[in-house]
Amino acid sequence: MRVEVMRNVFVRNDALAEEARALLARHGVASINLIGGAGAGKTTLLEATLPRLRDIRRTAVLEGDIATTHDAERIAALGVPSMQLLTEGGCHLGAALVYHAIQRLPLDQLDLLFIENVGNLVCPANFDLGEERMVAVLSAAEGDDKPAKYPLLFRKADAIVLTKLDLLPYVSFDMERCRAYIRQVNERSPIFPVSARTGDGIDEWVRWVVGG
Amino acid sequence: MAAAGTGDRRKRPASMHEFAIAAELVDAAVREAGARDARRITSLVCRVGLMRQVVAEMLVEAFRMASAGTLAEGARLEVETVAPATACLDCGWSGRTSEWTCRCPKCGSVRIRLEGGDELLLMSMELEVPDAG
Repeated sequence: MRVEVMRNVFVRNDALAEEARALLARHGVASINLIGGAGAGKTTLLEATLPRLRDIRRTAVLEGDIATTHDAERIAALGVPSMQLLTEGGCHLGAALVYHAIQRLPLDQLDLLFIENVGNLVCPANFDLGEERMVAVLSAAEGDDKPAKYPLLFRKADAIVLTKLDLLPYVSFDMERCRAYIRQVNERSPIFPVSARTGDGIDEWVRWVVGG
Repeated sequence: MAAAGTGDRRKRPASMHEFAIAAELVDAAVREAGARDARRITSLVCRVGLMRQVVAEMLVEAFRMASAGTLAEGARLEVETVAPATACLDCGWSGRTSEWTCRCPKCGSVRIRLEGGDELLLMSMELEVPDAG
């Protein structure tokens, strides 16, 4: 018997993501899924961001990694509650792991949740985690053509953060070319060039985080 | 601070996104087949947009592994690849291109907009269903 189905392959993941989204919304917790390659500066971006949020948003961080708790320890050192999600070899976070984790968070005492995905530009973009906003993180060291090579992520992203601006004198990253590549796949989302080291651009990015 | 592992999840190879997608595909297919009281899934067709950056042969191999012990074990997976749909903001050309491109194939402009090519759909299945009555 032949049957026509025509349904989204990610039905299981997406159903759990919807539950996570509803749970966060019920508690009034905003959420941001940070996606970028390994070494793009996602944790360093958070280290620059979290102190600026200290007095205005009660924030927690879920740290996705294949192994080690290094990143969660870096966040905890700032006095921000963090939980390490270990995928044990998995190249991305899935909604099941995130939903399980947020059920253990004190959601009534939070305003904002960052989910730092596993360092990878391909797989994480396929998996909805129930987040309100998805952010792509790309560093100047990785090259300005990455938005053309990884169109799915840059198309879906609600904002794109270009990190390590302080490296521009040393690398062949062309900011305008990168913007043009991003605009080919995504016309709507804001682009924030930042340097966590010098603080350049961080205020603009934080304004978007708190205000949208 | 605490660490949450994946010990409670089904163990599966997941070092490539094809494996992760295959596991989702098996789950979706088995649910659909179960809802129709099927005994077995003999074949299925999956449509994948080029933007998903899936290697079809890799997906078929991952599917073979992920489907072991399920209703979909041994099923033949056919992967239909769908090209990106683009529209040129300068000359107005629109259509599908054979691969992911950053330029309008007609006028060469880089001012193009992507209008499709990220599909990932289970399209149809061939099922073995016990005879009614």
